[in-house]
Amino acid sequence: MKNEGSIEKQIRLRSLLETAAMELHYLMRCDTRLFVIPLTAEQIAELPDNDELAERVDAFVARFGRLQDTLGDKLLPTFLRVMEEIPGTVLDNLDRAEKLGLIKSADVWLALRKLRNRMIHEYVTDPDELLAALVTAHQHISMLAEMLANIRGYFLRRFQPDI
Amino acid sequence: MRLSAENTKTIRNIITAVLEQEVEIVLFGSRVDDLARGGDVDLLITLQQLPSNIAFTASLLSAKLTKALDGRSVDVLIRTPETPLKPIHEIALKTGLVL
Repeated sequence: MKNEGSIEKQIRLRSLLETAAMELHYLMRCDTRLFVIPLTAEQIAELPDNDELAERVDAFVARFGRLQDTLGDKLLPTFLRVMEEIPGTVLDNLDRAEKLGLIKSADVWLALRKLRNRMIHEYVTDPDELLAALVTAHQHISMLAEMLANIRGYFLRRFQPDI
Repeated sequence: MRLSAENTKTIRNIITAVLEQEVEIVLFGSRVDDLARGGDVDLLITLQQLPSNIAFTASLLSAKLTKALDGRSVDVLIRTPETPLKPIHEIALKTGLVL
């Protein structure tokens, strides 16, 4: 017998999987446009006068943040509940995700969250530092995509035959 | 200063392990104030050789330290003695405590 509310939890998980997939889609489109040619510190230094690039950077940072928050703060705890685990703090959940093989490193996941504050071009005045932060996020999109794919894989293997 | 000796040692160990060089660590902000409560842990690290990706290294240190200090928020700044001082650096060096 399933726990009371287990169907509701599965429906919520399914809906969050769809949301995260759309957020990843939009992040990837923005990522492709932003990094189509290698970004340079010179371009970053000209952001205040380059509306198009500044907006592209803003969109990238916002979409990266939205997807990471959906995955870490909503999808992961919901997934743990569906797996009949009890979610804990964000740190606990990320450690659990690492143990389950959903992400390679909880430390790097957390570091990416911290890094987001260093991608705000209004605050970060050093072009090299801002560039490094953006490129690092760009290089770690695969980590977000992997968590999404892994949770979807777990979910489908376990529940698809039932639904 | 409102950090236990054990936490101070943990901070030193993690930072040294990640950066693999001699560092000076200054604690500044509300944790230096004995009368304040709670608050973020603000650290300024001065070292000889900057990591290739300062932004990510500082973020990774924040993440590892946050975990080691039971979820307390930790902010990390990294500089060399040659880095031009930003206002935040000056405040840290003036009011902070070397760990």
